[in-house]
Order: sequence, then structure tokens, then C-alpha cells
Amino acid sequence: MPELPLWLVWVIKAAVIYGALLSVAGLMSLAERKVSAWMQYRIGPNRVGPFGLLQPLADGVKFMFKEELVPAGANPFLFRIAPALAALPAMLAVAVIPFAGEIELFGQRTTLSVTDLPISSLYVLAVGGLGIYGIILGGWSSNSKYSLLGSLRASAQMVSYELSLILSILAVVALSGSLDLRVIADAQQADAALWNIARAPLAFLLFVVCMFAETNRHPFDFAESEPELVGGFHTEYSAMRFALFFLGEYCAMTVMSCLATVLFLAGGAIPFWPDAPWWAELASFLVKMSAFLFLYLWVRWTLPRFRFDQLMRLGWKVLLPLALFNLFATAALMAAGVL
Amino acid sequence: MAETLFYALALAAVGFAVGVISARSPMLSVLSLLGAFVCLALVYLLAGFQFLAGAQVLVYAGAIMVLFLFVVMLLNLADLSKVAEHPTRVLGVHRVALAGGSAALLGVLALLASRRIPDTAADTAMLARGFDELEPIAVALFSRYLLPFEAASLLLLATMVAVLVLAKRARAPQGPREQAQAVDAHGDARGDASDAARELEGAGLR
Amino acid sequence: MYFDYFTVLVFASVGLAFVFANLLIASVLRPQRTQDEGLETYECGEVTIGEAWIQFDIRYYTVALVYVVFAVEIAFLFPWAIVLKEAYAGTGAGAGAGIGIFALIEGVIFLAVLALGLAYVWAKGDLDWVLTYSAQPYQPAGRESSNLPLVQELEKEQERLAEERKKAAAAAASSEAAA
Repeated sequence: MPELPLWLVWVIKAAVIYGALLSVAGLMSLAERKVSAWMQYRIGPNRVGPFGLLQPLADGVKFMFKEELVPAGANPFLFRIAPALAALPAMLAVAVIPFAGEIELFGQRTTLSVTDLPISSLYVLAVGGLGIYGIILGGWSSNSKYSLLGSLRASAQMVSYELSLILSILAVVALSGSLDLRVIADAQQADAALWNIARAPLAFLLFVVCMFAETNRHPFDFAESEPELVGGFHTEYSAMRFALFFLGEYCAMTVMSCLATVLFLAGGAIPFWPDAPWWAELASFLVKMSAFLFLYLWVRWTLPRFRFDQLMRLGWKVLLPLALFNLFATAALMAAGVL
Repeated sequence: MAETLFYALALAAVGFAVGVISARSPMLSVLSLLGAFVCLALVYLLAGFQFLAGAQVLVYAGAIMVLFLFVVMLLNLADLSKVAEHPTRVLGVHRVALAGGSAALLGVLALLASRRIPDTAADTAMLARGFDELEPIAVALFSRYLLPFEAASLLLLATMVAVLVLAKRARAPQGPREQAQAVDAHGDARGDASDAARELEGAGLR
Repeated sequence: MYFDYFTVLVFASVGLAFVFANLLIASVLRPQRTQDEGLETYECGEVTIGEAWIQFDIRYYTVALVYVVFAVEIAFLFPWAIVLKEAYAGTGAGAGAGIGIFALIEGVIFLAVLALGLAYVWAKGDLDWVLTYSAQPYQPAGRESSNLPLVQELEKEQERLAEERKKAAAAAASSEAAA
């Protein structure tokens, strides 16, 4: 086979990763309904394709053909661009996730990620953090009380939990001495190295709690909160723009699961198999990621929603002091040579 | 290539900045500010300061959120339309701002004209230097810039205290203790809020 | 070098193209009807009163302000966290600078100032998300009076009841022991 130029290899890689991300998001929308159904002793969607596997495609086609409503009182420009602002950051954040090690692709050796940046964890936080603007603008531009309340709650909630999220990641960064996600993952699969979940269990716990809050999922889904706010920030949305909000939410969940896998579960590493081939690493990565995605659904049907004052109390008075203490303890234990 | 990108980004940043002051909807101007900051972050990246670019987006994303909430909380859109009905009230301010801004722009241009514009070769050399590394920044923080590093934390602490004191003036009391105090002081639980409203009235904003 | 970020740029443009292509295709395919009902704001069948763009509670604003200050401080902690491991080991860029345990002390001072800020906000009650601001009970317009108690009163009442139960249990236990 002739060698392909590097840029073409890269374009193929980007296309594959986009395809994979969108498939995961689509499958997640099906899994959400299927798992919910199983947990409630129902069957769930099973008409379109085997086990309802083609349901996401059918949903997509349906969204395309639906009438779109823009309320008369809304700000039309902001109302139209808000869903794109919600979906794009989550999709872009996946660019630096290291799925597996080096592969041989058409005669070029390349790593299985869109790119490896020296500041990749900062990139995920910065780019992923922009997703909140879509939600806020969508809620505000609708000129509906439900929507505005949903977006206000989203703003207060996300900022409250972002601090603890960053501080828990900083503890891991301190352990690995790098902001590069690939370096962080590789450091955990070195000889006689423990995964970060064992070295920094408190950071892992903090990260998982904040991960739910940052993606607006149960038990922190105050931006939507159906019993109180109808649909929250997307009450007025319909058709393709509504679908984009959901695409953004599922992509954000996927990115957070990937981040948890890389930061705390050593990415694609397999215990007792140090030189696993890339496909085994990729499979292991996907299994770990799916476990976190399943956790989202599991928690959704296990825990009731918080009250908003409880949410703020948990974020500022429990998680933030814990996160500060965790960072301090990590630094001190490293100085003592324990970690 | 890098030069073209720089000019494109700089142009976009200026465009967004003009959008900030010319947009009719306060929300659109806040959004333009976000665009301007992202463009600036990309310029930093182009100059090789990747950490600065990342931190800029991370921090300013939150700062813009504050402005967004400011628009929702403190500006009443109905009041804004009243301001628009009486343009004479703000016209004087406009004139002063225009004169000051023009003077500043002229000053900057004069300063630029008096200096030798660096030739392209030097610029390319700066780009070829590649990205900054993070370790030297940290080492500098621990050795040469130790005092500013710690002073920054104290400065930020002072900022936080100031922010809360200022925000409280426009806020109703909260919590049983404050409510009791407010009732004592004004015989009215919403005393603080109405005080703030009176201040706004005095400033001609309502 | 720049290639790494260039790939991100191209990745971003592909994503942008994907999102807007979807919206474009949908706008061609979907039916366009103009019925007034579709333009109404959704409020569960009620006719909407007034706009939603009104002044809202300042608490959201205060929380965001505190967040920004914290975020700036945390941005300073990034370089500190990166270099901590090398500083302890005395290798890397800081080799020979004699940083070592000094890095820990400096970081701890910084963290302590952060914690002090948090303590200030906490003590001032800005983290309390109370359920009502009003010292007077909620009074709907057009009604004589409402008997809705304040949340604080309810909490006090609950505390009092719990206290009583505890006392009763203690009394029962002591009388049982005496018997």
C-alpha cells in the first residue's frame, strides 16, 4: 500500500473520531431510554431495527421534518444560534482525548487522537466550559419565564461545581507533573504504578460528583427540571434545534466520561498486560468510558433530584473545602514521599 | 501564513470589540465580548503562549458569565428603552466618551508612528521559537516572582471582599440575622434594595 | 508545533460545518406554517402575562462574582501543580534552583489565602441559599391574610419537636432504668 500524506491521514482520523463521537451520542440517546425502561420493568423502544438499534437514526430523520417554532417575543438571532453554541464546544473538547497509543495507519505512525497538546486538560476545561453559553443564551432569548429560570439555575450551578472540578483535576496534574492527558494516562500504566483512582480516591469522588453537575444530569438537572420548569432552558425549542441541545448534552457526557477514564483509570491501559496492542487498548478505553456513561443512567433512576439550596450548599460548603483540602493533602503526601 | 492569520484574528477582535459598544441588545454586546476574548486567546496562541491562551478562555468565560448575569439582574430592559426615548440624557456622556476615545486612539497611533515597526524577519524568528513551556513559568513563580505571586493571592482576596460589599448594597438582606438587622435599621426588610434603587434614580438611570 | 493546533482548527471547522449543514437541511425539509398559536410563549395553556426579561434575584450574580475571583486564583495554581513533582525530585527545569519543599510551603500559603476567602464568603452568609428573603410571610394580593409560615419558623419548629422527642426518649429510658 502506498504511503499517504500526513494531512490526509489526519483528516481520516478526524472523520473517524467525529463519526465515533456522534455514534456514541446517538447510542446514548437510545441507551437512556432502554436502560430507563429496564429499570422500570418496561421494554423500551424495540420497533426500529433489531433491539431498537436504529431508533436514533429514526429520531434524527423525524427532527429534520418537524416544524420549528420561534416564539413571537423571543430574540430571533440569539434564539437561532444558541443550540449551535451548546453543541459545538462539547464536540470540540473531544479533540484531545487520547483513545489509544500509536497505530500504523496507511504507512504513517500516528496516535489515536485528533491531536496531543501539551496543555490538553486545560483545553478540555476551557473549551468544554464554553458550552454553558448555549444553555444560558437559549434560556434567555426564549423570553419565557421557565426558560430564563432554567438558564439562571444552570449558570449558578455550573460555576459552583466548576471550581471543585478544576481543583480535583489539579490534584491529578500534580501527581503526574503534566497537563498533557496522554502523559497523565501513560504515567499510570508504567511499571509498578498505581492508577490515579487508588492514588487520589478523594479527587476521583469529587470529579465524579462534579461531572454530573457540569453536564446538568440527575441529580443536578436543575436547568431542565421537568416537574418545575416544563423543560427548563429548552422549553421553547423544537425540531432540529432541540436535537442540537441534546446532541450537546450527550457529547458533554461522553467527554466527561472520557476525561474520567484518562485521569483516573489510566485511559486504555489493561492491568497485567503492559504492551497490549492498540485495538485492545481502544476496547479497554471504550469499556471504561461506557461504565461511566452507564453510571449517569444508573444514578438518574436511583437518586431523587436535590433542592436548589441543597445543591448550592453541597457545591460551596462541602465539595469546595474538600477539594482545597485534597489538593493540599496531595501536595503534602507527595512531599512526604508517600505518593 | 502566521502573519495572515494574525491580521485576520486582530481584525476579528476589533470587529467584535466594535460590536460590544454598538450592539443594541446588551446580550449581543456581551456575546461580542466573548468573541473578542476568544480571538485574543488565539492571538496569544499564535505568539506561542499556549498556557496564557488556555487560562484566558477559562477565566474570561466565567467573567463573561458575570456580565451576562449583570444584564439579567441589574438592567431592566424596559428601563433601557426609556433611556433610548430620552437620548439627550446620555448625549453628553457620549460626547465625552467619543472625545476621550479619539484622543486615546490618536495617542496610540502617534506612539506607533514614532517607533520603528519591527521587520518581518524578526517576527518570523519569534514564531519559529515555538511554544512556551510551562515549567519555566512555574520556576519563575517560585524564585524571581515569589512576592508578586503571593501578593496576587492577597489582591484577589481583597477583590472578593470588595465585590461582596459592593454587591450587597444592591441586594436585599438574606438570612435571619441580616433580615433582623435590616428590619431594625429601616423598619422594612427590603431597605437595602430600595436604597440601591434610590441611588440608581439619583444617577438618572431609572 | 503549530500543526497540533492547526488540526484542532480544522477539527473545529468540520464540526461547525456539520452543525450548520444539519440546520440548513432541516430548514429546507421542514414544513413552514404560520399559525399564531405557534408563536405564543409556552406556559402550560395559560395566557402569558408580561415579559420574562425582568430583574431577577441578585444571588445568582453574587455567586458568579465569587466564582470569577476563585477561577483567577486557580489559574495561578496550574503552573504550581505542574512543577510540584519535579521540584520535590530536584529535576527538570527547576533543577539547581533549590526549590524543593519550598514549593509546598508557597503553595500552601496560596491555598490558605484561597480558603480564607472562602471562609469570609461563608461567614458573611453569601453561600446561604435561603428559600425566602422576606421577613414577612408571603402575602398574595387580594387576600385577607395567609397563614403560610416562614421556612425559618418551620425549621425552628422541627428542631423544637426533635428536642422534645429526645427529652421524652431520655425520660422514658431513665424511668425504665429506675424500674
